[in-house]
Amino acid sequence: MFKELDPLLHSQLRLAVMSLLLGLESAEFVFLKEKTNSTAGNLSVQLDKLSEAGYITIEKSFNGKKPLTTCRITKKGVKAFEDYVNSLKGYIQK
Amino acid sequence: MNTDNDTLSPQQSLDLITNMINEAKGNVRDNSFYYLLWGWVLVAAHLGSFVLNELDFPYPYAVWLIVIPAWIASFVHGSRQAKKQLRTITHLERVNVSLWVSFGVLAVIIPFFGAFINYQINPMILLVGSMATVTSGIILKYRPLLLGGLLIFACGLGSFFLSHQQQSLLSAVAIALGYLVPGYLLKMQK
Repeated sequence: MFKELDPLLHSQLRLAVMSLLLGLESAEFVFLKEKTNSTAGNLSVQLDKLSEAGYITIEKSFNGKKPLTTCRITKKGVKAFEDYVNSLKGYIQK
Repeated sequence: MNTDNDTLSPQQSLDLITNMINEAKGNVRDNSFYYLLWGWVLVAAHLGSFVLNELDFPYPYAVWLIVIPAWIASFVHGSRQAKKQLRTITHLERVNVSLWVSFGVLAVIIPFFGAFINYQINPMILLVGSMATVTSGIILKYRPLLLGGLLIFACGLGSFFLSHQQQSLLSAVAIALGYLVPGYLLKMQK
């Protein structure tokens, strides 16, 4: 019996963001945009979805006059990611 | 990168996760500035303390006041770097910074308790510093720093058997070889 893959994580951009955040204490929006090669609009929408699910936190601040958006993975996000990878293993070992 | 769910196979998902984790890992920052600054400041302070003692200067420990501008320089450099390039912080970077800040606090506090440890301040600071250096070497996966830390540890233990004057000289040697040399090697690697 295979577990269903978390639809929130089973999407290229959201999975990429979660994988990046997993190895980092925090990351800025610009960094995530560069590494995932995504557009600002699309990334912003996907970050909001992850944040609404409680998988990440988004903190908005300023560096001088420049706005900064900093993202961090939450404990719930780490757990969801681990469950997702465990489900994936089931599919691959099939 | 798109957000379609149906185009992602389990294998593609795993490949994507692996790629992104590797992307996040490749952000090791060059910290050689701190190794060189503190290496030279501490070598100068130990040698200065030795020379002033030899000259019977009434306040040989006044030379340690040079750590104050070094703290300021570290702070200014750190905040400039933060503004310039700190777009991510890895868990290990945070551990490394906390480690050295903790060491800095201890290095300031230990001298005030000198009377309780028979004024064996140099050996104590070398031993605590060796622990931070070895751990940094492991965190950065940088063998010269790890070996430097072990050398500082050996010098710390050896210092217990020496006079205060000899301790100053051995400390300068330990810091030059165990801290400054790895710092220069790190800088050259850039």
